[in-house]
Amino acid sequence: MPKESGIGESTKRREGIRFLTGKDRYTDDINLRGQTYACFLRL
Amino acid sequence: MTKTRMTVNGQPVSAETEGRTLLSAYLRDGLGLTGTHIGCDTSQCGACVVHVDGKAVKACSVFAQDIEGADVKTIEGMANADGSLSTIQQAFQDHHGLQCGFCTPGMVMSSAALLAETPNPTEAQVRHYLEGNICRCTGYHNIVKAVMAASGQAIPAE
Repeated sequence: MPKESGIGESTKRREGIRFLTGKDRYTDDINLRGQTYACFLRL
Repeated sequence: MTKTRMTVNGQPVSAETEGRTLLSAYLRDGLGLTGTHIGCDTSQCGACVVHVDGKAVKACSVFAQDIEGADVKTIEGMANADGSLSTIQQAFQDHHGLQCGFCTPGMVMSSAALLAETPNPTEAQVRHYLEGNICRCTGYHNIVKAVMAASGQAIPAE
């Protein structure tokens, strides 16, 4: 396939940038005013 | 509660701490710098590695009050002043050294500390140095490739 068409080429992930700079938001990184937390009590 | 002051990513900062407040909590909760991740409760995973006075340190294993006044660098401080990625960050991007990204801040910080000490490590030295950083996704090979590339050396074969 000719390179110019893009077919068959790898694409670079764009989300890698925010993981590499600490700008990601995993669930424990979320901090909204008034947010609630769940705790599981095992009896 | 006491106010604990230090320098983080070049900026003087201050946040309330108790004696038991870990550096990881100080950074994440006190300063809102959530790039430093908590992946375990046992000091094993390395997702929390930061630089304290130039040395790679697991932020979960240091009390914030014990490093009052120190110069701390986190993943948020690794990019260049103009916003472009540092060499090591760019190498991780180019060589697909991350998938879910959770271990990545610790991998980048540990790798940066390695290259500061040993600018041209062998593959074996890279793998040994990163033994304190656990990755569930990549199988480590592309991480090692990224570190070798960041050091300007040839990338190990498959």
